[in-house]
Amino acid sequence: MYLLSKSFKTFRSSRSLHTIRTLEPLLLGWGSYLSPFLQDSPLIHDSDHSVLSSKETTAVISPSLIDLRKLFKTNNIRDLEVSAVGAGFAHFLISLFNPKDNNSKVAGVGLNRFSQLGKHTTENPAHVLYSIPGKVSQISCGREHSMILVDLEKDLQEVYVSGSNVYGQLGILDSKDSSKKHLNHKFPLGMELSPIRSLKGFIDHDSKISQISCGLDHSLILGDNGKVYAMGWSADGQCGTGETKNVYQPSLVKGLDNVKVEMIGTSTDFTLALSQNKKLYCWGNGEYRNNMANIEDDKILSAINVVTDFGEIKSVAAGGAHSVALNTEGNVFTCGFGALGLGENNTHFVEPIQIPSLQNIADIYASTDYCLAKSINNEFFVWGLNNTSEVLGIGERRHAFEPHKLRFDHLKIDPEYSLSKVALGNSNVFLY
Amino acid sequence: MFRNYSIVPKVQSVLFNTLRKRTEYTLALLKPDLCADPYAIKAVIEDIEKSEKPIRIYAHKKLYWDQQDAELFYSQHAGKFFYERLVGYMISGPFEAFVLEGDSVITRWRELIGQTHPVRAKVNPKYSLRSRFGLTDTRNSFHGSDSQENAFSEINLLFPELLLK
Repeated sequence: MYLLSKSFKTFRSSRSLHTIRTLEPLLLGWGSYLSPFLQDSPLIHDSDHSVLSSKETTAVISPSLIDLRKLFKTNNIRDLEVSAVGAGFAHFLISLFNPKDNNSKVAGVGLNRFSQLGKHTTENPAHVLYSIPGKVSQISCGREHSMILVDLEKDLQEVYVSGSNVYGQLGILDSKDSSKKHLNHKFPLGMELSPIRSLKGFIDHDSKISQISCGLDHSLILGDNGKVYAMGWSADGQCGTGETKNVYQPSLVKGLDNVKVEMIGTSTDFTLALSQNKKLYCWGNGEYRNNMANIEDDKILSAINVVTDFGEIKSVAAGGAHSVALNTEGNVFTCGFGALGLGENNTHFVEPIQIPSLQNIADIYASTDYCLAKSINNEFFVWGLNNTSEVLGIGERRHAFEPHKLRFDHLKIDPEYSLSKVALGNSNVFLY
Repeated sequence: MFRNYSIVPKVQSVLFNTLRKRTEYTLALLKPDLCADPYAIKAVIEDIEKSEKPIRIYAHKKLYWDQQDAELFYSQHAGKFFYERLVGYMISGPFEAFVLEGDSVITRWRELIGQTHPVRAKVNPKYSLRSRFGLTDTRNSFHGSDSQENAFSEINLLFPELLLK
């Protein structure tokens, strides 16, 4: 039993306690490597990393409350805030921010062959803990790399990266290293957490970073000046630099001159970008005509404008072979290949089509093979292809060809909480 | 079941040549995305070992390619639209190579791994290794030789010590 459910009961039984009650940080999740960190799972010992076994045997199949005490190996979580979560191919990072000392603790769990958790371990999968000065405000994870955005004092920011740099996806290489023929042979354990020091030279002095986003093997940084910087694998144009060569340092995405980008969506090998004046752009892999542009190009090497006819776009998200867009009326449109939310017999659309069963949607999210939508009433819907991580969280190993409403009733979540943030990965989903 | 597959004694090379008239060999690769997870490698080996008609793991080694190794192995695909990304993907980490032996093992291994494109394999209700482990079209987690001729040349390239002729 832990305090969250206890305080809920206290609240119900004795209202006088309400005023002194402090809320504890809340994190919901499902998928691989989570079974040791549930509120009702047996305690793990400090030295026991081996508790993490296969994706399958550690998979949590439906939304569950994560015990932050177990995850962060501390009893002291009051007044702390889950400030960011990122989930990748088979690892995730969670930050717990302490406003008193302006410091963030990060817990990383999952595969760690190239130190993508931020620290090298001999175990794989592994569970690591470390601190970062400042407030971790965003985390994004790829196949075997991670990116962490930290807000420091006085509008200063730092981007930390870790993991495999074989394609340059960490953006930390200086030019003499990039001539080496094989970067992972040179750094066989990957890179432990390090800041991208060169970033200040790339991003305008007076602009801040507004979004970071990792594809499987590339990384994107969006500045509040509306410019998008990319690094990493670009064999399908993932970096939008007009070429298929690896990009070793943050480089401006081409085709966006005079365009101010407001949000980017990438998870796998292509990107959708929404401009401040609500125009849609895409680049990267387009093999399944997954980018709403309905053109034959398998690789789009720099950003192109996509003309759509479904009203003003509010949000976009890119999967692996499909994409989703949300308009200001709360309607969701999709295209590409897979379990698109349109039934078992409708798995391929080259042009955007509405998912009629979804209405009043407030936001949308996508990973390689599935999507999540949040309604204006804080309901969550999931659809897509399931996997051994049980990433759909629907309690059974089947695909969801139609949107499935996730249920949280059994969790007894305090009504004062609202789940406002979402992190999707190939093996995990987190809500917080 | 032959389990001690990590070592290939020299005497077996002779046996290999003798046996190859009666049985079939194929080259199976467990690619770098799958090999990021040691438990996934174990699970695939279990799948191979429990296959209905026996598939024997004849030889097994861990490889870690650089650009030149990958270009040599995939030279027959040079110029195809997927060549550059296939080479790039194969150098992204260590991976495992197996020589599999059994009746019609070339087709049977390819059946077990499933459709080339994992997203299509996943939509397909039939179980396959790619539906279970495959990540994307590029990162499709498995390779199987497509003909006897290619199996021989691929095995020779990666397992020259087997002296397959």
